[in-house]
Parts: sequence; C-alpha cells; structure tokens
Amino acid sequence: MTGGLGGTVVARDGLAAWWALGMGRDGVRRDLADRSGGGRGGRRILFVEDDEAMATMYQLRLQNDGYEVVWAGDGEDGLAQALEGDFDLVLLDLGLPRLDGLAVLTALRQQRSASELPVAILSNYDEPPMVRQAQSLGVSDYLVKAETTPSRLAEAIAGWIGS
Amino acid sequence: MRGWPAILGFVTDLAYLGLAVLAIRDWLLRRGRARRHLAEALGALALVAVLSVASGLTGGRYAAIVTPLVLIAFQASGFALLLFRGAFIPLSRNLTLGALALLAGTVALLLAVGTPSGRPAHPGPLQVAAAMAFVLAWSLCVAEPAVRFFLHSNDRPAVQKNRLRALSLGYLGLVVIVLAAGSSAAANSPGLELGLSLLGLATAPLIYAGFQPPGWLRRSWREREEEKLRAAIDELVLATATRPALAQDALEWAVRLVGAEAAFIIDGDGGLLAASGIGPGAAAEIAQRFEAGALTRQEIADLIVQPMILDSGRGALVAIAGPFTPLFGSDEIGRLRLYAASLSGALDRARAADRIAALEEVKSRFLRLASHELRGPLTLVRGYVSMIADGSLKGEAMRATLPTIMGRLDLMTGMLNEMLETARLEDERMEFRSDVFDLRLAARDAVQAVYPSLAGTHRLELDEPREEILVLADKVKVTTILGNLIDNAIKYSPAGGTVRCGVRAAAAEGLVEVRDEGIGIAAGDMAGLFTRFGRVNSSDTTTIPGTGLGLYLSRELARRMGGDVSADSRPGAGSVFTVSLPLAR
Repeated sequence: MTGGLGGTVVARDGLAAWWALGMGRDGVRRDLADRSGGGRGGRRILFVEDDEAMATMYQLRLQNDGYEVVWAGDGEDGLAQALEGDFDLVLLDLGLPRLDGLAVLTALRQQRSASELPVAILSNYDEPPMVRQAQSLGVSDYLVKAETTPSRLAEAIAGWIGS
Repeated sequence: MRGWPAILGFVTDLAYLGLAVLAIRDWLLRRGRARRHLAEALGALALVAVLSVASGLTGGRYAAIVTPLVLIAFQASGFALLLFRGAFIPLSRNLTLGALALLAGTVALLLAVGTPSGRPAHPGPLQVAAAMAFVLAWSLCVAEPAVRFFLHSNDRPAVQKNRLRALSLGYLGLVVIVLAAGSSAAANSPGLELGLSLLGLATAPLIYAGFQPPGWLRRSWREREEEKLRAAIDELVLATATRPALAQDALEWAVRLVGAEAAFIIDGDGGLLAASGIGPGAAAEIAQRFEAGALTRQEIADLIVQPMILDSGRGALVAIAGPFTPLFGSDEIGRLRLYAASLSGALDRARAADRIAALEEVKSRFLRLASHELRGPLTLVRGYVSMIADGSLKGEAMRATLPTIMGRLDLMTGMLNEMLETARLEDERMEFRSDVFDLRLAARDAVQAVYPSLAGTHRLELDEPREEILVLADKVKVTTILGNLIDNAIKYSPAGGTVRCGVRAAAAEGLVEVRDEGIGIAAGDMAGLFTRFGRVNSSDTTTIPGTGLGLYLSRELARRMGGDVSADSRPGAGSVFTVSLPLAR
C-alpha cells in the first residue's frame, strides 16, 4: 500500500533532505540523509511518481550516486515543477493522479522552455500504443519498472545525462 | 395477308389482347404509376390489334373512323411505354412533351396526306415519308426505354434482371417488326413476312414475362443465384464477425433472393437490427405502422413480413417490393420463410458468439489489469532485494525496508487470493461452513486485521451493540468480506478521514455498515460496481491498486451464505457498504 497519500515531499535542500516516510500503511519509517552534493556536480532529477515507497527506493540509489532528486506525487505537481525547476532529467510515471504521464509529457513538449528537456518514462504500463505515443513525443527511454532495478536505472541515467 | 402469316398475326393479336387484360388487371389490383403506364401501353397495343382485326372483318368500311383511331392508339402505346420508363428512370418534362409533340405531329401528318395502307395502291413519296416519320417516331419512343431497361438490368438481382431483359427484348422485337413491315422488302418476300409474324408472336410472351413472370420462370431465373446464396450463407454464418454485420450481409442476400428493392430486420427486442436499401428511420416507421395495423392494402401488397423467432423475442424479416420487383408470390414468401428460419439460427449463434467474444475481451482486459497491478509491488520487492544483494543497502537502512517489502508481498498475496477465490467461486468448488457466531466478533477480527497497517491519516472506528448478534454463516468468509470493505474504504479515501464500522441487528438479519468519507462513487458507476473486474476507473482511482475483484467476490460470498452486500454513495461525500447476513434462529 502506498504511504503518505495525498502529500508531496520535495527534497530540494541539497544538504539534508529528510525522507520522513511514516505515513504509509507499509509502516515504512526511515530517515535517510541526502547525500547529494557528491560527485555529480549537482545534477538535478525530477521524479514524478505517485507511489511514494517506489520513489523512495529509486531515490535511495540515485542520491547515493550524487544526484539531487526532487519528488512530485502527481501529474499536476510534476508538470509545474518541471516547468519551474532547472532539471537535467525528468523520470515520469504514466499512471498518475490528476494528470496522467502522457498528458504531462505532451504539455512539456508544447512549452518552449521544456521542449528539449530530457524525459524518461518509468512505468509498469507497457501497452504498445502507450509506448509508441510516448516515443513519438520524444523520450530518452521507456523503462518498465518491474524490469528496472535501482542500479539499472542509475546506469541508464548515467548514459543519458552523463555521470 | 393469307395463310400462315395471317393465322400467326391473328394469334399474336389475341396474345396482345390477353396481355392487355392481364396488365390492366394487375394495375387495378395493385395500382402504382409504373403499372398504370404499362397497362396503358399494352392496352393501346391491344386496341390497335382489335381495331385492325375489326377493320379487316368489315372490309375497311369504317376506315375513316378506324384508321385515325388505330394511328392514335399506336402512337399512344409508344408514349405510354416512355412514361413507364419514366416511372423508373426519371424523364425530363421537356423530353416528355417533345416526344408527345412528335408522336401527335406524325399522326396528324399521316392523316393529312393519307395512309399508304389506304386505298391508293401506289402511295406517293409524301405518303411514304409521312408513314416513315410515323414509324420512326414510335420506334424511338419504344427503343429508348427498351435499351435503357436492358442497360439497367445489370447489377440487379437475377429476377429483376431477367424481367427487365425480357421486357426490353419484347419491345425491341416490336420495333424490328414495325420497322421491317414499313419497308417495301417485307411485302415482296413471303419468307421475311413469315419470320416477322413469328417474331411478333414471340414478343408477346417476352413482354408477359417482363411484367408478370410466372413462378416457375422466377424460380429458374433464381436458380444460379441460389447456389451462390447457399455458399454465401455458409460463409456468412462462419466468418461474419459480429451479429449486426451478419444481419447486414444477410439482408443484401434476402433482397437478391426475392428481387426486392429494400429489406430490413427487426430484432427480438423490437429494435431495428439492419436495413438495406431503406433508411433506418423509414424502416422503423414501416415496422411501427405494420404493428399498429396502419398500412394500406397497397402498401401491404408490396411487403413480405416474415416473423423470426429469436432468443431475445419475436423479430421479423421484412422485404419491400420496388418498381423493378415483378411481384411477391407464394414462391417468394416460401423462400423468404426458409431463409428467415436459417437466419434466425445464425443470428442466435452470432449472439452467443458475441457474448463469448465480449467475455474473452473482459478476460484479457482482466489479465492486463491484474498483471499490471502485480507488477507494482513486484517492482518494489525486486528493487530492494537487488539493492540488498549488491550491498548498496545494509544495516539499519536495509532493515527499515523490510516492512515495505512485507507489505507489498501481502498486497500481492491478497490479489492472488482474490483471483483464486473468484475462480473457485465460479467453478462451484468453494465450500461454505455453517457457523453460528457473533457478528460483532467477526467485525472486531476484521478491524484488528487492518489496524496495524493503518496510516496516521485514517481513523478506524468500530461501533457495536452490547448484545451479541448471532448469525448463521461461514465466519472466515464473513471476516474476509468485512476486511475487503474496510480495505476499500481506506483505499478510496486518499485524503484520509474516518472509516466507521457499525454492527447492528435488523428484523431477520445481522448488518455491518462500513462508512467512509472518501471520494465516493458516481451514479453512473454504481451499476458496474459489483461486477467482475468492475473497477471504477477515473483519474482519482487509476493509481489505487487492486484487481477489481474484491466487491464482486464480497457480494457473491455474502449471497451464497443467504446474505447480500449493497452500496450507497455520493461522489465526494463518501460511501456506505452494507453487509447483511441471516440471523441464527
């Protein structure tokens, strides 16, 4: 079961972003020190994902690798942050509350400022029409979550935006 | 004229008289513009024949009266045929008036200069010219429709095609006779004269077949088409994808089968299933007026209404005659009856096939949904285990992930159990115990099972009476149902809030109400709520995990224990699900 329903946790602070994930019915409660500011030159990733526990798992690895990761829990928030923030990459889920991932991607591509922003899909939906639509809108890659362990994601990201 | 040609000529005259009588009778019985003009055309020709015979018998004594009458009747027959053609293939007003003027003009001219067949044995050039103009005008008026009919016969159902061709050939034969008789060659050659007389005799049955083909002839016309039809029906039943497509294809063949202009099928529920050659609105109107008995006698004569007994009720196959349709006789009706019977079977089979196809679609949609739903928790478990395996997660951080992993494994187990239970339920392999137990205890068990995983955002309250409520049911399954409902109440209250579980007794049943303050259910989604895979999909719910089987399973379980599950909800204001179970007596 997802935790922290309805809330958006943003780990913007590079020094000490605390993930206080105590809300989930999974009973997850962890305090994880953000280790960004390491060797990645402050590369910023926006993670749009409604399942907070899922986001936390990938973030653990990415922050370990020195990325600064900002989490958005729904499509509207994700779109707003992608347009405002200065990100090197957006990791986008497709099944999202309020605004689905393809709508977020479409909106991003229509904005001049975000038309070139690297976006990778990270979703458990892999119906061919969805994949085709996402690819036609321009994505760095289309990854299926169930087949993407955190370390594989980290490798892929290093390939897209450099380490 | 003496000898054979004279006898043949007399028989031909009689045949045309008979044709005229039949055509006029047909018109009087069935009316219609086309039938009237055909009756006029044949009637006028018969009048020519009768007057000629009468003139011959009286030795030309009344030629002064008879000759103009014959000339007028002859040209009138040509004009009527042109009008007959106009009834199918519209003729411009100017052309009609022009033809009338031409025909009348040639009659007047011929009367003015004197007929060549009149007394002067050697007609002058003016008379010959006038006679030729007369014959040419008639031939034009007749040949044009004859050729038109022939051209239009292509692409028509076999019966209509042959009918038009017979009519066309009959009239073309007449044109040949008239043109040849007008030339001087015929008078000098007995052989040619005999040939023309035979041709004249042959035109009568052709024209008869053209407007009133007998049953045996219609059957033989249809024969070749029927072989194609049989093959097409097999093809239709085996290969047509859907029921409406089957009905539509079948209609095209029904139209060909009886040479109708249009046809439609009324389904067992009274709705229009398919229409061919007629708009859906017009078809529905005819059906309605037929039901109400509001059709006129003429309209009914142009219809075959063949009832069809379908699974869903009494339907009908209706064929409508058009201007090219010869007539609907007992042969057509019998044929359509057989056709409708095999079509009914095919339509019912198609309905069964449609149902199976729909079920298959539901099944594959479920498989897609379920595999996607299972992928979510699997991703998390796999991800964390891979991090533990590669050493990037250890110590306290690793232990902190274990509750998450366990939670996702529980979620997957729950989904798989739901699927298995649904399969068992549908196989009738599920066994129910008959326990007498206190409903309050089952509610407590369910609440306690959910409590540990409850988020801080949700409150769960149990409201129970002091007295025990003894019900007769399978306690484990009742606890499962209540657990499902409480789980749902929490899942569909993403903003948090209170879930109240109230236990009480009514007249003959124990009730548990699970009330939440969640997103609620739109009225339009209530109907599908308890169906298999009847998950409500909206932007608010796509991210809530679940197989869509929970409510279906809960209600089915309750019903098999003599109880029920019902729902009441308003979007945005939360939902109440009520479980009822029979009290133990």
